[in-house]
Amino acid sequence: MIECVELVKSYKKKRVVDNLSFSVKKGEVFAFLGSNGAGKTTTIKMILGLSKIDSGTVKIRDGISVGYSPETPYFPPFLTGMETLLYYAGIQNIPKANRRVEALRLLETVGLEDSKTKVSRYSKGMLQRLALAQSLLGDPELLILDEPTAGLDALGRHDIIQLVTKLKALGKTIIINSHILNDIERICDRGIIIKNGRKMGEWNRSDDNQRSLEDMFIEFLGGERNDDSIDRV
Amino acid sequence: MKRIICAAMVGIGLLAGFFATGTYGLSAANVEVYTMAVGLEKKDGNFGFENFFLTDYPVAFYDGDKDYRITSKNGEYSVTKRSPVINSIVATAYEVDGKFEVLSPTIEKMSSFISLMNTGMSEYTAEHHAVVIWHEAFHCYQMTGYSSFIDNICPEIDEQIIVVQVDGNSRVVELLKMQMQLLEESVKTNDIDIIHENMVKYKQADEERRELLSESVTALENYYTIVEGTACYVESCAYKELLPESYDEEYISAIGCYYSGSSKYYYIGMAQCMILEKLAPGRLGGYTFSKPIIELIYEELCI
Amino acid sequence: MTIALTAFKEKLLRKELYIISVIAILILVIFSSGTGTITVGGEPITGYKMLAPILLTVVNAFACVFAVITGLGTIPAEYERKTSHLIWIRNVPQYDYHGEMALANIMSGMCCEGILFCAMTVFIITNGKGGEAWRLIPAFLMVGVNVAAVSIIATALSIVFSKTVAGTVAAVYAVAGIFHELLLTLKDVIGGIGGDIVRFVLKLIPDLNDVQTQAGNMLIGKSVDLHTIFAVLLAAYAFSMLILFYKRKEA
Repeated sequence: MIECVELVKSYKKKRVVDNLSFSVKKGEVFAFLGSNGAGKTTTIKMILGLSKIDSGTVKIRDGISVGYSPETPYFPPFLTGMETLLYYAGIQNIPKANRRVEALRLLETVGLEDSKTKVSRYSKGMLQRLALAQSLLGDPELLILDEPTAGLDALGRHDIIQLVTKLKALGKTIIINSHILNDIERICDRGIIIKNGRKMGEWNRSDDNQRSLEDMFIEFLGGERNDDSIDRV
Repeated sequence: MKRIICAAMVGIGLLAGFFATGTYGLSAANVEVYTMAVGLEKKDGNFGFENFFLTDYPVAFYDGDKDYRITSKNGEYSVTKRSPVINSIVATAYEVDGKFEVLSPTIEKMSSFISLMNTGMSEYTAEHHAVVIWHEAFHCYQMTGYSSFIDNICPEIDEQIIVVQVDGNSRVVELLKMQMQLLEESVKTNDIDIIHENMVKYKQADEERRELLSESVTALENYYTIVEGTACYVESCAYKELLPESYDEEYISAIGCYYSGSSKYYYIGMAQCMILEKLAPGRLGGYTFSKPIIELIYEELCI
Repeated sequence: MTIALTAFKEKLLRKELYIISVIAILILVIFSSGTGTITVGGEPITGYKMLAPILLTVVNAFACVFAVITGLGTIPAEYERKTSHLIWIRNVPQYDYHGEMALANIMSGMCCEGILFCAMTVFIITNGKGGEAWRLIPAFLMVGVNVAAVSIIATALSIVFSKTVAGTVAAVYAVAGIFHELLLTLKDVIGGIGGDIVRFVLKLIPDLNDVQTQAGNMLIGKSVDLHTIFAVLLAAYAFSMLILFYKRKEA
């Protein structure tokens, strides 16, 4: 589905992605793991074409539609959730007749109501859900989710994990960027651990000899083992 | 590709409109100003000055980039382009290669300048500009034939002297205001007795006033009255022919108005010319600018 | 047009539009009511034919200032808060995205102009020239050319340059355009190399002042010269090429 070969990206002479290579198979849930500033979001931006690649290649299968849920979404504050989805549906050229139905369905899917509340009054969790909803517009085959459970309470995280699992069952390919190791272990099939823009290790759920993600995280990125799944390194 | 084609077509359309609406060379509006001014010219001299002809002096219009010099011969005029002699902001008489010419901004530039200066002028038209051309052409006439007399009137031309020594002296101002009222009355009446009586009072006030002023100030007053006053008279005659409906308001009513600085002498000199023409038509014909017009009036009235 | 309309709605909710409009309307209403007058040499200017062009100068200046402010801020804000990410990934070409933002800027600039023209309408009616109110429509469109041009210039510069550089250049364009005639006169006063430099710079800057003068001519029934309007449109066109063809490397 996606193949990235020796990706390199620098900002002001500092290399933030350093010869990164990986591939993502169709239908799998793939994880980027790493501490803040590891280069995960930059890699995602290069895959999405939001950032120019200094060297290396990104190959995405032809004709794939992509949905993206950013980590810190910003939506026009004077719109409601429904209006926001209709706005993006309009940009995406979804047929006008289908837009409202699709938007209602997606709001329900992510657990948001169709109310008159403006986005400016949304909590972080509601914004996260709305970001997820807009990423699902047009039923994309590839989903890239940047910290989809950030800012959500335990119930919210559970809902999102259930949703991602459902999407996977529908055959979607999903790339997740997350700190929360528990969530990754529950929903992802494979992943890579990145530090300073370089791949430090790979994790594969189906590998019988696979160590725990936390052990790998600590080994490659340093820090202390903790019984709570923390994102501290 | 479609985007590029559309963009190119819009660009071509705008360029076509730009070139189609542009004026090249001297605009028709300025040619109109010149022909309007020349249209007032008489065969036997103009406005009382028998040797004064506008067409003797080339008129150059400056458009911000080039001078467009118009010369006239036997009713035909020709326009030549040249680099600007000076960057004319206002019209002036200027010596170019030994000959005096009128250098003027185009009517468009002049109109903009007047708007910028916010002079309160309602509208600056071709007629207004034609009148200015006559004023400056008369200066060309003065400098061409009578510069030796004019140079002897006053050694130092400095308007500040007027502001300080005339406008700053309350008794001088009081007398001058009275004199200006007398001039205005005399211009407005055809009764020679009244004019005679007014000019007697004028002379008395003038003598008292001049005792309060130094010789250099008197010389400067004479300079403005003679040089600018006569040019203002010519200008007023041209204005009367082109814009008769506002002539009284612009010129006659202005005679009695006291303005700070040198501009009041323009109207004083103009009024004196008007009175002299009334008393002795044609007397201005032989005027050599060697003495004030008021002295010619005194001679005519035997004061 | 979805992006343009939403961005336009966002601008209508901004306070700058209303602050500038209120200030300008106050000025216009004062002159309309006759409680304030311009005087020259102690003599008041009260004639409609003299006041109308002066009021149009106020409208032109305020609308152009507003156009610069909104034009400079729109696209950088999109990239700062990363709303551009969710547009880029939807395969919206940059020229389309930036073009719609520019359109939103133009619409909001003309909205500000429209509010000011409403105050001009009051002035025209109170001066007994209600029958000539139709002239406001072509005058509005002519001043709108200035507003649109300044808006496009500011927007185009904001895509390519930093806020400081774009703001400085856009401000120079707007101010030099509004005071074009004054600067031309200044050029003649300075003369020499300084005058030549000013003349060269002014050749690159559209004469917004003359367009407003032509709009004033339209208002008072004088003949109108379209040449500078085409010149301003050409300048806007040149800058719009930046919007059309310049591609940012990063979202």
